[in-house]
Amino acid sequence: MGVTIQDTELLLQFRDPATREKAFTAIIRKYQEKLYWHIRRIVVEHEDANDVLQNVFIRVWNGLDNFREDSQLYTWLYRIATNECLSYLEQQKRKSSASLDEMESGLSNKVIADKYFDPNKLEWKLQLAIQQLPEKQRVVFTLRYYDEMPYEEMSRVLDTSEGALKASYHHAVKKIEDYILNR
Amino acid sequence: MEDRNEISVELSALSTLVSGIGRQTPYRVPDGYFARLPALLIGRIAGPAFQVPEGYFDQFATSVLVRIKAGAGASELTPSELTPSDDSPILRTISRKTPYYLPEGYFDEFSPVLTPAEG
Repeated sequence: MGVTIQDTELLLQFRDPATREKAFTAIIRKYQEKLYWHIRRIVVEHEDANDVLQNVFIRVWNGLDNFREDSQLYTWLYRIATNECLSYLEQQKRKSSASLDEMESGLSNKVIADKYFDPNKLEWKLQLAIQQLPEKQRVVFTLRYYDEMPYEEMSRVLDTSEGALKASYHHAVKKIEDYILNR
Repeated sequence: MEDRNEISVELSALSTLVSGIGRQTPYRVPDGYFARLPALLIGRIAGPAFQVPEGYFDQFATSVLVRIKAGAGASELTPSELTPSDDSPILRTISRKTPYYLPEGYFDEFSPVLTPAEG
């Protein structure tokens, strides 16, 4: 499935130097919130999400001319955002020489440190539970649960088979349920 | 392609607990963040709006000293008129005599390389 009509128009405008910035601004306005929340759920803190999101849009500016339109623009953007998140987490791991477990508890601590954290609210318990998942499973869960992304589209974002994604999501839901019930 | 209803049915079948939690992420965003972001990104991509004239910083220190002097009641000097001794207490104490040795009578015996054209 290719791009939507509106995205096609935005891409045409982007490719014209006279309207490039205007088109890019329109793309940012259209997708910034969806991408921001996808990133934020993975990296937790606003400052980190802001850094990653800006990096995503810089990459979009530099790479949009080469976007082949064989998938939706939305899918391509999510793919960049997901890769930037995973790179960011990898970078944080290297900086702090943290083990995988230490990274997960670090992100959980960031959830707990949030000014509005309420351990009695299920939405907050869910955020803690999400941080216990392995990185890629975390992404699968958040894309399916929050963005309601079909497996077919997720497969293009994550370059993973639909069957593997379905299994990953099912395991993630069970782990989250166990975590919440046992806390 | 699956629709939202199929995704909800799948989740309910996996866990009624998780499917009952609100989909609202509880994190908050600073006020005005999304309103500011597009302009901020365009600014990063486009670079600075203003350019500095070439050589601006080379003359900057001298220009500032000229203005300071003018403000302190000293004669208004242009950068080309400003000599180093005017702004350096150390240089003011050093003689202007060039210390290099010159053989005696050098200029008396000096022969120009070029001679004036005749006619």
